[in-house]
Amino acid sequence: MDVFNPAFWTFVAIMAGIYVVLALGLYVQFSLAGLPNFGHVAFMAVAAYTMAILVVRAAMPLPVAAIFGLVAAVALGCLLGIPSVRLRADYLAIASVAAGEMVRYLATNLSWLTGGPLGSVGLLGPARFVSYNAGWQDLLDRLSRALSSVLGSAATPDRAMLLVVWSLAGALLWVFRRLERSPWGRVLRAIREDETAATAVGKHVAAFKLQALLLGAALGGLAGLLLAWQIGVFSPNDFEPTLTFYAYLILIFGGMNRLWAIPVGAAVFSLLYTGTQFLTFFPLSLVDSGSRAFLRLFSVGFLLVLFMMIRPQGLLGNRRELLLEK
Amino acid sequence: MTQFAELVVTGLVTGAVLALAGVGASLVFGIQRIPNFAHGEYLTFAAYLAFLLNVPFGQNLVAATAGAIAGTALLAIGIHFVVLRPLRGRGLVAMSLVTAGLALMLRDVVFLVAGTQVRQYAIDQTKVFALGFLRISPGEAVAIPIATVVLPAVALLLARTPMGKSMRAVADNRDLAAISGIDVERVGVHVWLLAGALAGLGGVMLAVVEGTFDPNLGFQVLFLIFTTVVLGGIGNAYGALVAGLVLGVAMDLATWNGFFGGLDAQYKPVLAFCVLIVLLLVRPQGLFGRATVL
Amino acid sequence: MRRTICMCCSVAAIIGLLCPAFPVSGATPVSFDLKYGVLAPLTGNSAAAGQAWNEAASVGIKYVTATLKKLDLPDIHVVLADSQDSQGNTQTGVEAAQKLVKIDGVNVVIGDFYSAVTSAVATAVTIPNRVLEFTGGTSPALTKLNTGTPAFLWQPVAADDVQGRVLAKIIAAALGPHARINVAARNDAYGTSLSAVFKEAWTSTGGTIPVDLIYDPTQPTLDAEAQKLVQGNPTGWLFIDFCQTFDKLAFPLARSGKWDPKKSFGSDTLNDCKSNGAQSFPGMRATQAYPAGGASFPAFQALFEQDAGQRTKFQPFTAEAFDSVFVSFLAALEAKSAEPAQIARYVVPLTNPPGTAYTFQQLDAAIKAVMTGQKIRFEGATGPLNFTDSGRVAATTYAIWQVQPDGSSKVIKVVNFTP
Repeated sequence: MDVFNPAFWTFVAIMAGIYVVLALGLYVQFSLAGLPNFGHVAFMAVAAYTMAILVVRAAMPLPVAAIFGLVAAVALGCLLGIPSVRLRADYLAIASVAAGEMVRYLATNLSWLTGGPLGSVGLLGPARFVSYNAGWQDLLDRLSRALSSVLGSAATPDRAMLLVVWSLAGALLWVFRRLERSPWGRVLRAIREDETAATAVGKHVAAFKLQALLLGAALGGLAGLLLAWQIGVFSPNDFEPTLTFYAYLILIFGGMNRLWAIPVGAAVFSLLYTGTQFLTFFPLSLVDSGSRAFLRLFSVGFLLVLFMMIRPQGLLGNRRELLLEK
Repeated sequence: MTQFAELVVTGLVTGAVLALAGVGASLVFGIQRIPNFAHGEYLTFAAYLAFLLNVPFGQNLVAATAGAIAGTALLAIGIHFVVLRPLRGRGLVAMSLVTAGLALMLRDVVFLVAGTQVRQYAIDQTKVFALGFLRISPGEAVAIPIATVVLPAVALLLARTPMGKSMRAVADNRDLAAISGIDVERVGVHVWLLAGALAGLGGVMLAVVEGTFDPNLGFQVLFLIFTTVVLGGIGNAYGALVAGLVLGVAMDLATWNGFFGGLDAQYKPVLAFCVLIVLLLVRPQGLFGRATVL
Repeated sequence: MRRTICMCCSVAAIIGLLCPAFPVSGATPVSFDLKYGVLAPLTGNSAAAGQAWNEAASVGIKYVTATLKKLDLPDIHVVLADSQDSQGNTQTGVEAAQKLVKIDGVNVVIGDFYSAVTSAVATAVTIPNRVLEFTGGTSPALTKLNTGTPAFLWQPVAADDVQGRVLAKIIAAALGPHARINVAARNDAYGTSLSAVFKEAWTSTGGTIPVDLIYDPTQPTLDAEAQKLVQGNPTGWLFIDFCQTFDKLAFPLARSGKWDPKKSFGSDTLNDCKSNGAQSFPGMRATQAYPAGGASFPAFQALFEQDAGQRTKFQPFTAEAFDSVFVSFLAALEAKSAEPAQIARYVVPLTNPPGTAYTFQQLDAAIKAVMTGQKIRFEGATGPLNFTDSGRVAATTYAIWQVQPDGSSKVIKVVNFTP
């Protein structure tokens, strides 16, 4: 057993980077604008599917298709935004789960368009194999060749991906840090704290909420694209509501209202989630391998509940600030 | 015509399960401000508890159901005191995550203890009861009388008893209820007791109606329960009763040939979500909800 | 003195004679360390199938280890390194496969039986890392992922494009080629793809399909779906589902009074629901690829049930996982190496004529035969396998199973099929 195989941990780190982008989208929607969106995964699905369909069917170059993917995610945001911003938080939470599930069911059932339950592999029918990923692999290859002048033999496509994902995540974190401190961000915070007061000083509450929703949708779409490129294949089952829960978990781990804590949350989440794959040591080795899978999910649930009871404010959060919230 | 009638009956049976589970989930959501993502697992727990009493211990199904109702009510109370009450007031998202974590724990415990294979109660599922031109299953034959007794009883409990009245009062406006002298804390315990008992009954009914079941039983209807809650208006118990029945019938009738030739069955699960979203566009507070914010 | 020298000389001569004779007699110590990893949806909606898949693979590996011990071959190690949960989605599946390949260093991955997960794991993990993967997925697209020969991704089961046509042929033989068949399939890659192939094959030979239904098996009741399926005055039915969820559809069908199990056919996952703990419906038929000669399937079932006890119920389709274990082990033995690329070269010769046929029950004899350099042919519990270079099986013999009045299932007929 080679627990410290760098290739494996590179993969885990790439996934953590993608989670940062995903959770950042929720941060904008929930922590800034107070919209509890539980259907975030729908933006990922729509962006990934749009990108893959355009590449495979319309033979579009990957970057163009990717932009259309983001546009589609934002368009879905518009569609959801119009009813959503009117809804009370608890109704919105459930309605957004429903919207996310609808996208997943449509992706499963519109098989002439999406390839059906088989996913992106079957985009042109179940008996043909297609891939949308050639352009991305090319890009990573070229990037790793360029990097090899600096890093030598340590430059692999995987590490190039790691670099791409984390630089993107870092840049986005920086941009949103600036946005959060801009007048725009302050208005959003005001709206979250007291909608009536914000309206009273003449702010168009619905417009600001919609803007936050759309920005979050774009980030969700970006995360969906990155995930599609990283895995190389996706299917409707990948976009179950669980993924949105994971993204919220990352926000909570870091501390709900801490932008800079998102990477910490993503790292902790990835370590915990990956770490539970290693539960094969004594005394767990006495349990058969099938039952260990149930024990693993049980322990994920248990750690989650335990964490919420012991440190509800997150690793970097402030307990007093938490208690002030509703 | 027979098809129509049979679809209405099966729809009402599913609807009754959704109504029972939905009332509890709605009151909990309204009173405790908890979207209980573990509610489906309460149903699963009840189904397996009844199975344990019914098959290995050889009790009849009535006794087994009574045991399951009591057991699930205890489970709900236990989780309330151990986990949820200490975490009170943490907000919608935090409570969603905690209950999702609880759901994961409960589901996998049932998997570990009961195994993955399908189970069925000691009743002959292939038996047919002819009721006029209707052919109904033993599950439906049991579920219909139960539903016709229990659903009005629940409505009566909420309308007439002091406990029911205070529950509705707290769901409606917590602060106002508190200053009117209602012990909000006690109502909180009662609501979990009621929700647990109804989930217990609903779980056994669901298992009987499905015929065979596995530990995914409750999780598979979780989002339908939530749809019921939102359609009826969060915290509105009567709303959930009606919404559950309407949703159950609507989903089964959608595939009826008389309804524009019938919806393609593969879109049936989407229907509930479509109804929900369209309804929220028209009435953002649900079918019977009130527009005021708590 | 002379005698001593003489003796020394003769001893030396004897030793000299013996030494080169040693490898010729086949006693070269074969030594390799073969690591398996299992990938399956061990939790969630398909947990029952996933757990059975894992059990089938691990019972196979246990059998190999026990046989090696019996034959006293301590230099050959065969282990199940780890079983990981794919939860039936590609992202989790790839994460799990990364763990198996990069951390545990497995040579062979057994699974997943979701075609979508297999496609992702093969493209992202096993093929780039040159690790063997035996899938249970039935999509005909899967083996096209192989980038060259020998293949790294093997499909030990007839793909949908073959099974769909076999079903059409069997139903035509039973009910006539112009029969009206209602088709019901679960809404996943397996159900939709198999029903599409069947529909094409059936209508092209003059049959009609009055009702074609794709349903979500996770719904609370399937009564409305059952109502649909008895419409259109059908001669027969075809069901594509797993035993775990099929009862939900079959109970209301039976209740309708218009359904006849004797005129119903199932896909290869519905051939023996009784042993799975579900209800079975007497008269119903199902198909499965079948060995031409001595069937080891009952022995596999007995071995599975003895090992799993009450924990996991038997599922016939998991014979694919079981066979994969033996195919990769025997191929490794022939290659004298656990190197996946080396193993892959021997998969096709191992499962095709010529050579004496061995089932897993004769594993000890098969091992001895391989060690003495004989050409053998492995015959699986699912059938003769007959792998082709592309990674697919070219089974030509199929069994028709039928549920007996007591609810158990047995093979009633064997048919030949040439694609």
